[in-house]
Amino acid sequence: MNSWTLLRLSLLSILLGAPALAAPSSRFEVIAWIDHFDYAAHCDTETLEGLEQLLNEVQQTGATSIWWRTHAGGRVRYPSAVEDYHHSSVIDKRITFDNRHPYGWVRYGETEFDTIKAALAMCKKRGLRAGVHWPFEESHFEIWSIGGFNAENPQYWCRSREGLLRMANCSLSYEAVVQHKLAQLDEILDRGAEEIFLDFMRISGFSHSFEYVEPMVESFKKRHAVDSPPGHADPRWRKHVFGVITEYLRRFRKHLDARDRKITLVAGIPLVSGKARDTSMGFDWLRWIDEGLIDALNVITVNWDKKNALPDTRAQYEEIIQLVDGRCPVYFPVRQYNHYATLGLPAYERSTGKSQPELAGILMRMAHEVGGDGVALECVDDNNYAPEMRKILKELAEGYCKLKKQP
Amino acid sequence: MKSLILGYSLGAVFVLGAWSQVTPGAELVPVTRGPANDSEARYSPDGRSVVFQSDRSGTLDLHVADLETGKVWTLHQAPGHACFPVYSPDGKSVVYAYAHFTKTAFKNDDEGYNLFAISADGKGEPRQITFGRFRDYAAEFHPDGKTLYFSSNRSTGKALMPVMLYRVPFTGGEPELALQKNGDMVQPSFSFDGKFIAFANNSGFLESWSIRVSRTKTLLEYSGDTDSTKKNVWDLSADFSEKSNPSGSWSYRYMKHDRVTNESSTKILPPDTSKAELLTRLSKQHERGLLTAWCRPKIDWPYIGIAPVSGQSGVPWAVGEMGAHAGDRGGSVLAIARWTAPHDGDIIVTGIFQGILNGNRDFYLILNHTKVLESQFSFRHTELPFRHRLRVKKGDTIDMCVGRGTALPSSMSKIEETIYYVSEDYEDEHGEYLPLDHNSDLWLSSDGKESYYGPRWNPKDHVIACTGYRAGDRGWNAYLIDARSGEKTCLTADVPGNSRSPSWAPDGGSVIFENNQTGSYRLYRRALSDTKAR
Repeated sequence: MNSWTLLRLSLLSILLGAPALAAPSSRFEVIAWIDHFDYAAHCDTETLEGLEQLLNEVQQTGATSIWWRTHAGGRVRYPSAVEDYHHSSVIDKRITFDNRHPYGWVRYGETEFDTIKAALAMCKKRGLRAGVHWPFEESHFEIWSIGGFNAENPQYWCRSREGLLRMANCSLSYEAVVQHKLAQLDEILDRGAEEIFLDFMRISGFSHSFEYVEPMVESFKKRHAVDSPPGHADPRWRKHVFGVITEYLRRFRKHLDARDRKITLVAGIPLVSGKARDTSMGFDWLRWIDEGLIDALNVITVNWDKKNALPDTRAQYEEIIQLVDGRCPVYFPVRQYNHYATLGLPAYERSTGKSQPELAGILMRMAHEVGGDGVALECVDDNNYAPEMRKILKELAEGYCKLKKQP
Repeated sequence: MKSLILGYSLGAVFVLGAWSQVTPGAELVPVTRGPANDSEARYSPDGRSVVFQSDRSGTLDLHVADLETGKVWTLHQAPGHACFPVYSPDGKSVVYAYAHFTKTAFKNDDEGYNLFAISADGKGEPRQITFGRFRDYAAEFHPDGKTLYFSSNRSTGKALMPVMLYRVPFTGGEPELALQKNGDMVQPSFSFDGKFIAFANNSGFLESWSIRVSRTKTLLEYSGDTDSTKKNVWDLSADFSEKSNPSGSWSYRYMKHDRVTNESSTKILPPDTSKAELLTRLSKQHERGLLTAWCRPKIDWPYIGIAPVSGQSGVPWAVGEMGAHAGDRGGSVLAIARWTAPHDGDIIVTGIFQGILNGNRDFYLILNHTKVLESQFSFRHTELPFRHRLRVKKGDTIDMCVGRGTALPSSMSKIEETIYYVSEDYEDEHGEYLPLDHNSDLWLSSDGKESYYGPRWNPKDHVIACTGYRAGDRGWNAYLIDARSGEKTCLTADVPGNSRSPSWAPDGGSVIFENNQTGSYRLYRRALSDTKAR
């Protein structure tokens, strides 16, 4: 080994070490999910002034990044060329309507400005990282949230082994469905998104038991050399269906990488089983990290032990950090919501006797101390993350938790 | 059960007639052309033209196509959306839904979609028929030509309301609820003889649309004679009281109901409801059904309650629907809705017991001490409709009872009951349409494996045209469903793209529908084959 080679190796080792050296300056992110639909009764979300107002309020949390909701169920919140029934005034007989005032009457697809484009620009102007929150499956809880693509394409609807239809879900085993999703991705990227947060908690009834559609069944039969697909409990079927989701993410990643700017992809995972390694919901996030499909992981929930709330939460955070092993940023929850898995701040309050503002601070510190890259505040609304809590979060964001903790 | 009802009732009760069948590959005649989306076409009564909605001007406006000349002219053009047009039976007017929003939802001072009428020649100003911030749409004339039935989410202004069927005089007036079923009800269509009404029904976003058929008699006969109290209809849900029990002629009760059990089976003894006690405590947000329910002082079972809000639980309650549950533990009891006759006379008692979730239950309808109806079943969505003509004296009681059945787990039931007096010479048509003591609806699609919406009844026969999808289809198709047999015929299997919203020519010999094989929706006509006797 000559001196030139030694010099090159030395330079290489310095370069390889560079990220670690740069780590102390990494910002500890406070990511606020924004669902402007939730503000519809609080401020006029169909005006720029209304969006500015809600963003002012969200920034009381010390937010450094925003994930802005692009979809209301299956209805996109901008004038889309590929999803006809964005929040609009058109009636479709296959989709009934939210009757709540004002929620059922907002028309984000018909505002004088492009809501998502304007919102993302507004975030950037304020120095906030501008991302979008995109539920994995478009439809939400009600028939009024089903989008035009689903309404117009029954041939792609999911169905059970017995043939029961689900108009809320189209199967990603159809190329046309993937293309539709990617076309929406293009629309969102064209509006300036710097980050895509795919939410795998909001899956709208997605289930491997309703994926008995022709391309899924045929590919299974071919792979396993069988004449008919097995029941949904068969692990081979689960693996096969969830493999299609991973393949979809590969397409998604490729699409992002084809852009002329860096766009990060974050996967939001509910760890409902309580085991960090578990991927029983089928969203194989460790594999996604291994393959480099996602740039960051957002832990939406952990299934902490109610008798040992905070220590158990910390143990699970640490386990996740070890599993990820620095391969991508990890964001942990400070979760005001208490539905879904009932694991938010109200549940912590019941288990620990501590106040919710105090707990929010504890959880943010915990995320910081275990080596997390930030916290995510799930849907900062006008009626949650109380002022006292926002103050605590902001103080931490600007002080103790401003920078990511060094390993 | 549904298919049993279908085959048994309609097959037996409809007047056997003639209907037209599609000829595969029959000529497809373009009616409109161009890049715009033309849809929701309806024939004029003379069959010479069709009115339809189109986005050719950017928003939805109404246009008319002359079928003889091919000429298309604009009937109505204005800012906002005009849609779902239909000719009046005399052909002089077109009724449609229209909305023009100028304010944001937050400002909340726009009206919603309302029904309007315009002269069929386009002259004069449109006349507004309904008002208010609702979505009133998909209107249809009753065969009397005087009343409009339409879909709307206007009920009581509560959140997340299902769409139900309303009616309003064509000349205007206050709309009233005409028909409420489990889930959304869109696009009413009357049978040619006016005896049946079809609509699309959907009970949840995961489920599919079905075509459901009800007897119109249950809609209309309530408006009969009124007595000196000006009340002639007692509706269990409409009369439900959160304030007092008893309330008027209704009371909500319970009673122990013993069983005889031996080693091999459990048998239920006939109930004697004369000692039924009042349920004295009102519980809100009852169980996961979110019912406001009357129950016992310290125990939540049994209960009878009403759903004030829909869409927020795992149980598909529509607002105003009532449920009863005898309880899933403890001793044998009955939940009882009792009506006490205010005076002597002949009454019609009509209603339905319906399973909401899987579980066991037994039902009774008891006049004083005499059983009128007894049954039990176990399955979700199983329905037990009833309709009886009875003679009562003042003070007589009609008890609608829900028990636990003979096996666990038991489960809740949806209950509906309507009672009204009829005159002695009232011509009871009981049995004319349906062979059993019930007023069951028909579902003309099968168990969630297919999806059908947008029914249009053939003007001369018991055949319904609709939009449908079933496994193997390339998208939506125009379908014909024989209401007597349930047989389905795809009209557009040979046509690329989606085919939607078929509507009948006045002679019942052809349909017009929209299809997007060119990339946008255009209107096409397809003739059916020569009429064939069946």
